[in-house]
Amino acid sequence: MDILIFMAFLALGITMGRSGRLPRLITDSLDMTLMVVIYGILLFVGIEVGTYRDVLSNLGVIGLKAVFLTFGTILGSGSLCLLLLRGE
Amino acid sequence: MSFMPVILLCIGIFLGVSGIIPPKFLQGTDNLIKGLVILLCFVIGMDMGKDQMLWKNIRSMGRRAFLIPVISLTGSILGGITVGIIAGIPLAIASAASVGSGYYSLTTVLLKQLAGPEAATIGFISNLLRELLVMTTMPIFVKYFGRNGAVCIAGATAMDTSLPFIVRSAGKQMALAAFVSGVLITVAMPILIPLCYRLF
Repeated sequence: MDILIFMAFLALGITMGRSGRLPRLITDSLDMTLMVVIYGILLFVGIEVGTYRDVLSNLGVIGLKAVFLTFGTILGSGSLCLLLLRGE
Repeated sequence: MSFMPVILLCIGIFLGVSGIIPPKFLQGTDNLIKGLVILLCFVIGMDMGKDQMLWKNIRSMGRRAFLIPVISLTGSILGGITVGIIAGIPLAIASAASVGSGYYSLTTVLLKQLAGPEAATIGFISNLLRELLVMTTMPIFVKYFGRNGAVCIAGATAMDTSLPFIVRSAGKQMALAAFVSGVLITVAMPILIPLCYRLF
């Protein structure tokens, strides 16, 4: 259900941005706001992760899986592009 | 790109572990994070919407504008699922974390809501590492996967943090394709992460 709310706000933001009626004050501070919001999210997610002791005690195993995933996504996207867009 | 994201996450984890945060506040963090994500989606939307050139550029690029991000996302999911099978990561988490395409903030918070803190941690580390690798090893990616391949690997980060590195290694002519690809992947992210999680 949450995801519909997220999408609705994304669409609302795009519509408002495209309308060209946003005050300068808002459009000029979007980058800054984005950074503050992202940092806020990371801080609070960190707090939540910190309260889950079993995640932290398994951080080595979880981290290793994450590192494997990174290499999987890099090789996957790069190879598929090489395969499909070879001539372009 | 600074170390700020890692520092903030570590401060958060430290605060969470230390137990100095009142339990009453901890009960509210879930809703607080949800509110911040809604704000994040709204601000991303406005940021993209206000950029009139962006919409003209997407139209002028035609089919290619969509081809690169679609290949990038599909390749990431396929790679993530393959690793998931080999490393024993539940495919729902492996695919959702992989489709994050280097956009660690949104991936982390969506995975936390969908699958809990362990999945969120996997999402954070794997996507942050992808961003860091893209920025540090771009010339190698261009050499082995070609210019388009490098943009595919950059995923969502192609529009901002890794754009200068793409331009330096793959040339100025890739700047527009990289930027548009990054934007389209970013916009699709709030839809694709939950979709992958439910689909696999």
